[in-house]
Amino acid sequence: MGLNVAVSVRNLTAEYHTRRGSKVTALENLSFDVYEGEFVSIIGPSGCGKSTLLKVVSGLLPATSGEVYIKGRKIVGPGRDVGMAFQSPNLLPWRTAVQNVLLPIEILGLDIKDYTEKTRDLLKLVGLEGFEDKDPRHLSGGMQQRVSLCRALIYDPSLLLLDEPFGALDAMTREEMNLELLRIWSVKKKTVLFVTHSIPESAFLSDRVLVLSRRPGTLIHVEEVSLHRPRSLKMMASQRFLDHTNVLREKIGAKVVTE
Amino acid sequence: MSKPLTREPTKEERLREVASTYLMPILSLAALVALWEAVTIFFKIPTWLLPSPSAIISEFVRWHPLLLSHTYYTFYETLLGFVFAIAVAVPISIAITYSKSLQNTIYPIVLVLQSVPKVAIAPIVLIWFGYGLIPKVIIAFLVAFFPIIVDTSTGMITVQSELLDLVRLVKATDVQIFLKIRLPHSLPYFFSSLKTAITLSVVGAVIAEFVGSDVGLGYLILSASPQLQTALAFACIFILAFMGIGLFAAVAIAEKLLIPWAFSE
Repeated sequence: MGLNVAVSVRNLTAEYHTRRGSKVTALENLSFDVYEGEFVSIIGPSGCGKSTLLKVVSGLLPATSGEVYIKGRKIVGPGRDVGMAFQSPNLLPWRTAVQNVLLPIEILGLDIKDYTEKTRDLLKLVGLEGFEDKDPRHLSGGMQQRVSLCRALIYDPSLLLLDEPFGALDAMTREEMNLELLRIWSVKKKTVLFVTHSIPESAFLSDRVLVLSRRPGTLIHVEEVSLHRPRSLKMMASQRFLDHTNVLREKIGAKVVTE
Repeated sequence: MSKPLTREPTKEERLREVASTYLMPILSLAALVALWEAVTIFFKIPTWLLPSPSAIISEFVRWHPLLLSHTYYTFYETLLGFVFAIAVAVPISIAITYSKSLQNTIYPIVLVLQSVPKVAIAPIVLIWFGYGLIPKVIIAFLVAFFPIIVDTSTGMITVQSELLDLVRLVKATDVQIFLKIRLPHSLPYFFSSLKTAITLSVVGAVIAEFVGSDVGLGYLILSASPQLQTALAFACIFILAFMGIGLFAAVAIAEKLLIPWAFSE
């Protein structure tokens, strides 16, 4: 892990207006740094503005006040520094796996031929060898999510923003995908901001876990995960892992009780 | 629906599946026709009141050159109205997808047009456009274009917002988003509306022929009835039914061929 700051969030406040016109403060005065190559999870109760945070970091939503910097550059709008994936794989059903991954390349106007090889390598990396030319309807949920990850990686962004990417998968597939993601991360050396509802998932994957409070989301705790890498599923039974998850559970729960 | 099987279906099971999807409808229709024939014979129902299926068939054989030429007109009017409806509805769908103000100006007009019974406007359209082909095409068009607009614009609008977020990261232009996402995404909706529209077009063409025409199956029904040539009228009705089913099937086949990805197996 390098010590260069990849993402810097400074005094970030994000408000938006509902259709009825009432103002909602999703995030309030949030500040944190993410280092290059770091895996950071964001966790908190439902509606704490986790997804809003990712959208502001990506430049898809404007900050009401405060700033976001990616590699020292102030974010004013969406850009190809960032790759994203969501809970729903959002694949285009009329395109094969390869064609889905190539969508951003087509939009960027880059040469498809140059990237076709790269796409196949990427799909191979995520374990989809032999499924490259299949339609999404012939892929399982976990496989679709792998394609979606490849689509986020194909244009080589420095930062990956993942919004509960495994939230819709069954528990077994989810564990498998966690390992898969760590493997891809270790190969591709990306900085990852990972939003999740799952305390064990956040502890298992991350270098650090940021705990946000109920809306308006503020940073209430940063948990440094002391498990060594590479991680294995066995670690989830270790005392150290349980200590981390207990702290996280307490931090999230404590805030709920005081309300 | 039959229960899903965990293993490969055997030959016998597959045969049974085919039989229940194709054979059952044919058999039930055949039974209905047989019952009809029996009732007309048993109760000695006069042909002018309710012709038997065999009487209708012999009428069909007797008059087939006449029936065929009138069928041609109705078919032609239907298709022209249908094509015209697509040509008008698709650009309107795109317009209301992209412009809120166009949506607010065009949609009410379209809605008013849709709400007026087409039988009520038909005489006026005839006054404006005369006795010929044009008023029929216009009525066929009027009944068909509304479902195409509603469904196609729905298909263009209901693209997942997260997908749009993803392509905004790589600075997709509106044209790219339209061609690569919105347009293909709307196709299943579009084809679904075409299946409704094509059957409505047949109805529209016949309505227009009822109101004023000297050709077409609608005209033939209207002139056969007062002479109590009920069997001939029935022959026309059957042709219209088959025309509707045939056109519907043609659209459904085109759909299966052009957007196979829209069908999950």
